[in-house]
Amino acid sequence: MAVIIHTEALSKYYGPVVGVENLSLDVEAGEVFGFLGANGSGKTTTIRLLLGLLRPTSGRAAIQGADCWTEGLRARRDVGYLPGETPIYPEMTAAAYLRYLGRIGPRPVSPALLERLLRRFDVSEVDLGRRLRDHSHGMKRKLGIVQALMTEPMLLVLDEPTTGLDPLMIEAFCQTVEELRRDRGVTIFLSSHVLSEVERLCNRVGLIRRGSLASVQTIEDIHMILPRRVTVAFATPVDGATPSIPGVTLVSREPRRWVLDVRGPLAPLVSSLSGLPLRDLEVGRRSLEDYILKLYSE
Amino acid sequence: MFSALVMRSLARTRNLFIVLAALVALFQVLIVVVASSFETSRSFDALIALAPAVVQRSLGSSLGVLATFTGMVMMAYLHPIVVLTVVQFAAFVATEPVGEVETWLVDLVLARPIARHWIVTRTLVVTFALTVALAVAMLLATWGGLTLLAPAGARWPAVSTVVSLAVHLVLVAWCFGALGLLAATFARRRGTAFAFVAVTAVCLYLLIAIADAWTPAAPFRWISPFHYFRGFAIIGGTAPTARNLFVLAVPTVALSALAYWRFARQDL
Repeated sequence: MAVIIHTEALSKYYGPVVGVENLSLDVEAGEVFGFLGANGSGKTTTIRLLLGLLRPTSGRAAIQGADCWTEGLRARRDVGYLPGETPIYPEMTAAAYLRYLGRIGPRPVSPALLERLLRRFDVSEVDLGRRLRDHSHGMKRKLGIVQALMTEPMLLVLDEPTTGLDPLMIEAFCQTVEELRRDRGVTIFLSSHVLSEVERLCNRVGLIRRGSLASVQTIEDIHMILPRRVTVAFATPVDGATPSIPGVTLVSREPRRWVLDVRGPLAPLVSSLSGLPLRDLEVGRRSLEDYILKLYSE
Repeated sequence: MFSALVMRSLARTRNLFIVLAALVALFQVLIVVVASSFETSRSFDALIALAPAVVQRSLGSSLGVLATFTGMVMMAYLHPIVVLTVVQFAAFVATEPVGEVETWLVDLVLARPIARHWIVTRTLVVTFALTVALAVAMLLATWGGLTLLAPAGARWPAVSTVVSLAVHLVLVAWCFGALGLLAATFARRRGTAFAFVAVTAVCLYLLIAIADAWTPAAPFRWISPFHYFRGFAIIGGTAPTARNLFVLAVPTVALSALAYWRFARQDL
């Protein structure tokens, strides 16, 4: 797979304050990469370094092989960007805003695509005719998403894209991302606080903590790393010892109910329960949130 | 793409431009009305006699030039309100880049394949064009006023002299526009950049006024761009026009070049 985003020991300091430090990362073509971190951890700084808006203190960032600082034009030739806060020209109508951003984009906007995006994100003719200063935060966000997608870029950089969107629009956004990945192989670099959305959309997740990349894992690996909580219910009290299986830890025990944490495959546990009066087996799935909380607590 | 950037910038400044163009044009017409009144009543001599001694001393023989129909009409191009309005307008327009940084609009624009120097070039084009447009509005108003309101037999100012005054005014404004652009590459707020240039312009204007009245300040006149806009010398035909325009162009070019250099390297 071709590497679309490449950063190498990328650092940015604001005087004594660390923006990002020694960040090395590769995002491959067609990947949806989730970039997570607390407020002020360096997500937006990383994105702005990728877009050539900030000059790295050291290291480098590249998009499709082009250095983001020294070859910014080449690096940004096929990028769609949604900033964390949608910047607007308050006096412009939504239609004029999109027309203007289309005119300064890398390629002409297809009217059919624009129409489709506006329909999907429920932007009506009336909305298009209103001045941006009169629009709600959610509508501005939708227009921000539309402007990022309308030039059909091969790399999308989205900074907290669903902030301020209602559940219907979040669903529309998720469907759009899934389609872009599936149908056009678009690479998406997505920073978000909404972990369920990241879990649903992303192939891999990078966690940034105090400016440094704390971890990069696939969603599958995260699920494997985290123990699953297994609750075993028995029809009659069980007095015997709990099975001693590698990767299985007893959390609590009552005569009719065991709670266990299981790392790795479930098969050995299930086999060991075969001789017992099993009534129910409930296997919970740890979420990305647990993973992040775990990393942050370390 | 570049034309879209220019059109957007022009659209954002349109209302302010229309208001200021109307005001400076109205001022020109009013001056013609006043000059016509003096001419009709033949009271220019009385005007000289009414001038306080300090004004007579500082203006010297220029007062005689001013106290004519022609001189008074051309005075509209030297009046502090007009000069500082045009200069401050140029400075305000030129600080647009930092305004875009402040409102994050620059992220939206520069995330596209647009070179940073386009932003600076656009700002210079818009600043220069709108300043020229203000001067053209003034010229049209002067000639409109003269055509409609000048008394019969009054001597109109020479076109070349009025155009020369307007060109000097535009060059001074460009100079402060370039300073505004450079200030915009240092500041994080448009208000800061504009305030800096606005205060600097007023101080440099006052420097000339002080130097006229107070000899120890005279050696510092050359610092001020207004020193190279010698209105009475232009009206009297004694100003070294080419030299003055060149001197005004030099800092404009130098400050613009510095702004290009800074904007290409700064964190946005």
